[in-house]
Amino acid sequence: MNLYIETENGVIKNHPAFEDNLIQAFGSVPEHWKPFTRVERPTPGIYQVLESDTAVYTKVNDVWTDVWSLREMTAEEKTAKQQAVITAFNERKYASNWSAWTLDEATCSMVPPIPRPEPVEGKLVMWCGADNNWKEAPARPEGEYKFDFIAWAWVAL
Amino acid sequence: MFAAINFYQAGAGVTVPGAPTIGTATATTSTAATVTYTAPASNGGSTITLYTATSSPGGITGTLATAGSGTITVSGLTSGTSYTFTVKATNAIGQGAASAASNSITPVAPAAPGSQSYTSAGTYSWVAPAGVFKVSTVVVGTGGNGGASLYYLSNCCTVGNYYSGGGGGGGGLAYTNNYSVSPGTSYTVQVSAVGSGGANYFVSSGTLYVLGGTDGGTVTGGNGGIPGGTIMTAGYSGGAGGSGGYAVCSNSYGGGGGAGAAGYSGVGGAGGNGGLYQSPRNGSNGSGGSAGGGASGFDGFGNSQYGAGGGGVDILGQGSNGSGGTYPNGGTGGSGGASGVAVATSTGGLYGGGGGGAKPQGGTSVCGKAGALGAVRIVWQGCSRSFPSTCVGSP
Repeated sequence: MNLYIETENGVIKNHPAFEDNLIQAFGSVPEHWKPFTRVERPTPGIYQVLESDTAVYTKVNDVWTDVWSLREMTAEEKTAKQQAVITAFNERKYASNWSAWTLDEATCSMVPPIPRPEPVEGKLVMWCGADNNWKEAPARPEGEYKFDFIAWAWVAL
Repeated sequence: MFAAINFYQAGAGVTVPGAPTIGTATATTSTAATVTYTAPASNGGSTITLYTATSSPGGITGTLATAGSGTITVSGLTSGTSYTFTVKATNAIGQGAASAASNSITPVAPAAPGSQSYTSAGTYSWVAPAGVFKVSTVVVGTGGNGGASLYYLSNCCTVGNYYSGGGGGGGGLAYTNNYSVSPGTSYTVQVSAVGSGGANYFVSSGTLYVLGGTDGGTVTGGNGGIPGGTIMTAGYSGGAGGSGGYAVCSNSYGGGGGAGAAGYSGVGGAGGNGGLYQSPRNGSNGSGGSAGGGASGFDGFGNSQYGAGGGGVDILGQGSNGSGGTYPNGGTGGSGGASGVAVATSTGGLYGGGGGGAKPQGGTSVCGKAGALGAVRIVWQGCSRSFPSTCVGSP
């Protein structure tokens, strides 16, 4: 649905309105209401920052539109984000089991040195730090157990 | 005798009031208008007891018995005729000079029934059409996103290990009846983006609003959206998102379900169940909206990647029970209700449902499902002009 924004001496007023609303209100779109292109709030990429949750109405190529302040992270911000991921990864229980995993800069996530094999129904395959590889876990006993990655065994809760 | 008294009072320095300062004339119905004014600097030495507004043409008057500034209603105008107004103040001595003339207004016949809906994120102006003097408005909050599961760290997820995500909170609902508007005047409407946690509102953030449901977190469900505002006739909070299951191993538990948004004509329902995989530690149900929430879904038994999404409400704000979604598509707020295993008799609407939380899947973290959009709908005249209403259909 088309949007228009009110202008007065070339300066915008208020917010965009739908064309059908203006026709309801005025019978037609008044001359001083100008076409507006809505641009929805962008989702920042992994290394981007949205500096404001509010768009600024700006004339771009002679059409009023939303302009969002999306920018790339500075080198310092990028490093801090990566470091937070690494730190949190290393603060987990049994963290030493995954000591071979490294940060994938492209996705800002920790990845194994060997890709995980395709899941097989009925098999539980997890990363074994001692073997430095993926390994099928032993069958889980009935009841409440948790997995001890260092002992590579289920232990009762 | 009276002349003598007036002569005596005038001789004591008492006189008629000064001229009021004219404010704004507004057509309020097809045959009436209001005129605002400010009291004159001088009351002439005697308390002002009455203000009189007079139309031009027609000389039709309205009065207000007060000493200070105010708003005078003038009735009996003719639809389609343009009017201006002047105001005079009266004290014990008599009536003072007239104010300047007001702006011109033209009362018009009531508009035909109509409505305007806003279902995409953004801030808008709604211009009151000619002949629309009262509106009813329903505002539905945005559903919160489902929480991410945590198998290992991922850019889209927060920190943790082997946890299912909680369901997003449902958006709340608020409505107002018979709110006065002026034809030709712009009123602000806002619909927040999903996941922004912002408010959806009509007029201003304090006039009629609903906060969006918050996103589900690691295990924890999001909070339901809360309605409020100075013109709110009634409101309902969204339901909280269900919690995700605590996972002991990588593939243990499905994500907690998103809670339903509130609606006012349905029966309160719970958010979707969290998934379950060989363990008694099921994700908990989300609490339903105060009325009309999403009903629970299931199928978390090893297959469900996401908890069920909360059922939403329809554009009229008339909520019905939603039904939970199942693998692989269930879990999106609101619409999740349409594709899931029905444990209720009807599906939810598209708006306000919380997103389902995710479970760790295939050895990786999975982001939760998005919550549903919020919405704002303004209606005038017609059967659904007032909420709640059992009159379904176009206004």
